[in-house]
Amino acid sequence: MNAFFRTWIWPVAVFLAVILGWAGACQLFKIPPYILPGPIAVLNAVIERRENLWFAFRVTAFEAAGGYVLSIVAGIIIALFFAQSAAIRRSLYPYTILLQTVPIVAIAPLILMWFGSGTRSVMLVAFIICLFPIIANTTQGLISVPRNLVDLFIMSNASKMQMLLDLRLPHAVPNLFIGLRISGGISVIGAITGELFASSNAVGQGGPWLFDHLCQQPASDRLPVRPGADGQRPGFPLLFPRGLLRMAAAAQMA
Amino acid sequence: MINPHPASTTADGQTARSTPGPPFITLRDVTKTWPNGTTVLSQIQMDVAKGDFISLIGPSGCGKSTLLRLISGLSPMSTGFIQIDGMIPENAREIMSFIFQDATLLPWRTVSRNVELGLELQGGETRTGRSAKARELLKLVGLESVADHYPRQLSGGMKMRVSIARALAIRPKILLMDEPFGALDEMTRDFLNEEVLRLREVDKFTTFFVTHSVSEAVFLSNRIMVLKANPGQIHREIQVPFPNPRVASLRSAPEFLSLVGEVSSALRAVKSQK
Ligand SMILES: Nc1ncnc2c1ncn2[C@@H]1O[C@H](COP(=O)(O)OP(=O)(O)OP(=O)(O)O)[C@@H](O)[C@H]1O
Ligand SMILES: [Mg+2]
Repeated sequence: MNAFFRTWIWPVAVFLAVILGWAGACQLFKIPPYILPGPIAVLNAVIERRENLWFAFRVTAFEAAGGYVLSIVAGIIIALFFAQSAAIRRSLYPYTILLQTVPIVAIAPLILMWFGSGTRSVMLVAFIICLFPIIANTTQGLISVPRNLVDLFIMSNASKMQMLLDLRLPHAVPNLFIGLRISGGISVIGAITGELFASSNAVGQGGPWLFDHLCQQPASDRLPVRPGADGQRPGFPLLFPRGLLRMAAAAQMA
Repeated sequence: MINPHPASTTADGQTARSTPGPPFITLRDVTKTWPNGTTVLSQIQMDVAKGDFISLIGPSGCGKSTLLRLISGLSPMSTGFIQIDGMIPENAREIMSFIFQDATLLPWRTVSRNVELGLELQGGETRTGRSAKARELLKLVGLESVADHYPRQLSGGMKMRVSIARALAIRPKILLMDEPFGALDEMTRDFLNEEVLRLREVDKFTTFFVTHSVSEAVFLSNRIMVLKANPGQIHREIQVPFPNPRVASLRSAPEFLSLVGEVSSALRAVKSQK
């Protein structure tokens, strides 16, 4: 009981402090609700639109989880392949880094253009953003087995398969978990980015139009985060810096 | 594959040594040159009888670990040849076990499952058979009580004993040990030295033992090879005449101490050479 109390007291205290600070700031500086509504207003909006939000939450969670699970399966298979030889790694690793360095907002419109704006495409966006951390961490774990352990297995005349299943894979589990933790978080970012473009229905319509459209249209039901009681205000121009959208628009034109 | 256990050679070390015929292990002109051109071992000759306990001692970097890796076939030699019970090293792995300085236990396996590893990889033994053997060996090294623990729960000395039990599980005829007790305190090291000798009475394995401790080498071996560096060569062989079984009190006997002195001075000579 005491331990339970000690674990929870501080996070709860911080939560309450932030909420109180938020409500206080709204009151004190007389912030108009369309800039920053108070916590009560937000809570009301959530309750009022709970069905919409719950539906949106389920859709996004499904897309994020789907992309995540796919990336785990594919990532482990690719990592096992990469672990086979340094030549394979040298020739293919640069392209997986490409996955990581090209901004997902630049790829997402393309994916939606190619595969349509359904759940599948959004899942694919989440999948792509999740893939690299899984590949990179698992591969690292598979190839970083200490030489003495490898020698131990060689001395036992272990087959390549035994080496993989009884040594490399179990050794890579902690690294795999690091990858899982990173990808678990960003899968949601991937899904939301995908939804951003899927919901706009602007794919293939040209960059400038997309930009204006995104800034003027109300958020659709597919967008899970809709701050403010004022439902007519689009949520994402506040959430996503305009630069990002411009980048996406540029990618569309290219 | 050649049967590594022909019935005629299963007699223990003592009788095998007196029988004429080819030595158990032969090294001829063994030379190792790294790809960058440096020669780490040059023209090593050695004849090893069954049951020999050979210590390799010499300055750091003289190639002791490399020599063990050549004998075990983990690393190819450049020229020369090594024959182990009539086989090339790569084919003799079934009768060899390697014990590394760090215990190299698999952290995701229990102590008992670590001991089973060699048997498991070789196949040809049921799960229950393996675990029975593992228990037996853990009993032999006095660790039955921690059979179901994980390596992280053990002290350094206990880990080393598990590593020894694992090496012995496949009933090796040859044991290769690379500074196995280098990281342990002196008391634990002395204790494990006695343990190794006791286990050797049971299994009669032939041993190559790399160490930096002169007294450890004298206590354990019947032959000590003092190596010199650049390139690695056998500078001098020193015979240790003490009979087996040896007991702890040997360490304070005058003959023991004078032999320790002799090996130490050989080592000093080798170190001052370069
Ligand atoms: N894979 C390698 N490639 C090139 N040089 C190597 C390699 N492995 C070891 N060496 C070199 O070979 C020499 C002998 O190394 P080795 O590990 O056999 O020495 P050692 O006698 O065991 O030393 P220590 O007592 O410090 O363990 C060293 O100079 C080392 O730098
Ligand atoms: Mg060494």
